[in-house]
Order: sequence, then C-alpha cells, then structure tokens
Amino acid sequence: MDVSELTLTELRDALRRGETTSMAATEAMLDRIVRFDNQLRSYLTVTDELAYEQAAEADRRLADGEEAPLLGVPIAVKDIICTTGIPTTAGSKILEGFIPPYDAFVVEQLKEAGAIILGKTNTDEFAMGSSTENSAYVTSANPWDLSRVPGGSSGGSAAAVAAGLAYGALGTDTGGSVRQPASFCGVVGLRPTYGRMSRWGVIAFASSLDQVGTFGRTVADCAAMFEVTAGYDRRDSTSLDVPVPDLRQAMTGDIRGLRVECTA
Amino acid sequence: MSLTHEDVAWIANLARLAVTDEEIEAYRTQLSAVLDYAARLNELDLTDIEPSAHAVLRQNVWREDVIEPSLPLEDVLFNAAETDQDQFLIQSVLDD
Repeated sequence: MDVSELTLTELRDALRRGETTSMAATEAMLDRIVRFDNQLRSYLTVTDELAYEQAAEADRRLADGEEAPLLGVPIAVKDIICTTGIPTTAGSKILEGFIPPYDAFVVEQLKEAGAIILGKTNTDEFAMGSSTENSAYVTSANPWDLSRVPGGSSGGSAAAVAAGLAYGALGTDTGGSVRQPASFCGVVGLRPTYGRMSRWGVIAFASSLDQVGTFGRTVADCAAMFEVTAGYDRRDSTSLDVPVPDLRQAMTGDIRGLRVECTA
Repeated sequence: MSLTHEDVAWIANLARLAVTDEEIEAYRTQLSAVLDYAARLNELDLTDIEPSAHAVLRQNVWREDVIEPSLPLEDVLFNAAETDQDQFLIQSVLDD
C-alpha cells in the first residue's frame, strides 16, 4: 500500500485498523513536499518538526485505542488562518515574522480531532486575488500544468491537495477563493453557508462574506473535515448556534431528483 | 422575458448611460436572455418553503458584561517590536 495514494477517509480508516501509522503518512507527505514543492510552491511554511511530534503522539493515542475524528491525519492550513507558534503571513510582507499567540477556532477543532498540521499554504495577499500571483512571497503552480496558476486565493491549499502534498486542507472563501482553486486543480472544495464556520482567528478580508472551507480529494474527505471544523463559537457573533448535520448520512450515493443551478 | 426597446432606453436613462439605437437593440437581446435564464428559477416548486431575505438569523448577540480570562500579557506583546510598561511602543503618529 502506498500510503500517499490514500484519500483522507481511507487513511483515517486504515489508521484505525492499524494498517499504517500516522508517522508513515506524515513522512510520506513531508517527503513529497521536499520532492515536489520546489516546483509547486504550495507551502509558505512547512512545520515538519511539529508534524512529526504530533504524528508520534497520534500513534500513541491510536495504539491506546483512542478515537478522534481525524486522529493522525496530516492536513495543511491556509496561511491566513492563525496557528499558535507558527508564522502566519496572509501572503503579505506586512505580517512577515508574525507568530500568532492563539489558534483560530477551526485550528483548535482540527487539533482536538487529532489532525496533524503539515504547514501553511500560499495565498494571495490577504486573500485578495484569484491566482496566488498576488502573494507577496511566491506564485504557486498548478500541479496538472506547472505553467498555469492553481487559482486562488486558496491556491496553495488546492495545489497541495491535488498534488498529494496533504490529505486535505483548509482554505477561506469570500468570493470564490475555495471553489475556484478547487475547480482549477481538480479537487473538491466546499464553501459552507455563512455562519457555519467560526471566523475567530481568521484574518479578515470582508467579514460579512468570509467563510472557512475545506479541500479534499473526494466529497467524503471534505465532509469529514467540515464536520470537525464547523459549529458554533461564541467568539464569532455571526457563527450560527445550530447543530452541524451528519453529512455522511446524506451521502447515500443517490442524487436522483436533485436539481443544481449553475450561475456564472 | 422580452424587453422592449423602450425598456432598455429607460434603464439606460436611469443609469445615465448614453446609448445609440444600435446598442439598445444589442442590449435588448442580451438583457432579455439574462432575464430568461434567471426566470428558470421560477420552475422550482417552493410551495412549502418559507421566504427568506437573508441566509443568517439577524439578531443582536449579547454577552454578560463580566471580565473573562484573556491571553497572557507576554503572549499579547510577543510580536511587539518594542514595549514599554506592558504596552506596545510605536512611533508617534501625530505631533505634540
């Protein structure tokens, strides 16, 4: 089994069955980042030491039979979402060297769920752009054609997931910044309804529109990350105090009768 | 939905746009097509669905006015270039 080929949900299940380890999955991702990210430039910061520490801890918990929704699963976080002790730049030189003293709500939730954080992904400066060309650091490449952009602003997250440099990733979407790069990179992007995700610790672009979203290789992968990161948080007064639905129950595979209207 | 020449002229007038007769005819066709496309939403059966003006409940959010634990001072000041008496020290913006 090539552990880097697994989807997020396949990895989660394989970890629970003891067929692989979080350390193996984390190492596989970090190795691929070393091999390919000099061309893709999807990460601004790779937190390899921290990721190995988290993976070792996850493997201990897995061995103890502990259950957490994403225990041992390595994922990436857009660099506009605050992470304690990890530089967070929002793709801007203004914030170069800024180390947040607290985690965003969605990062707290990921850690609580046992996820491993591989690093922070590239974004257009303060999420203002649709290609990552407006990042003050680098322009990410589209893994399907390195001469093209991956879209944006969450282009680093989309490229990392598409290239197998993370099992999933968080992005943010104000006017398409998850949906459009997901489309450019051929992965699934979910922009939840406004109010579903807490914006606590997310550097603002337009507060009445900003939402955290998820990137996955499959719909199920996005759902798994959504279920962990969605939910009410009193520190964001626009976050909705309504239960988060069990999306897996809705994923019956039967989409008969649904109508989708696509406006462009 | 088919717009008339007069409809488009009226819209152009409201937008304070100077348009020629040829342009009005072109926009008439294009705008009609846009409205036709949007009109497809009317095909949906919304009998049992409550009207909504906004996706989010719009109500004020309050909390009790009580002191709660906050970040330790050293964490808050960690990123400060300079500090003085537990405060951020920055260059003055206004003259004395």
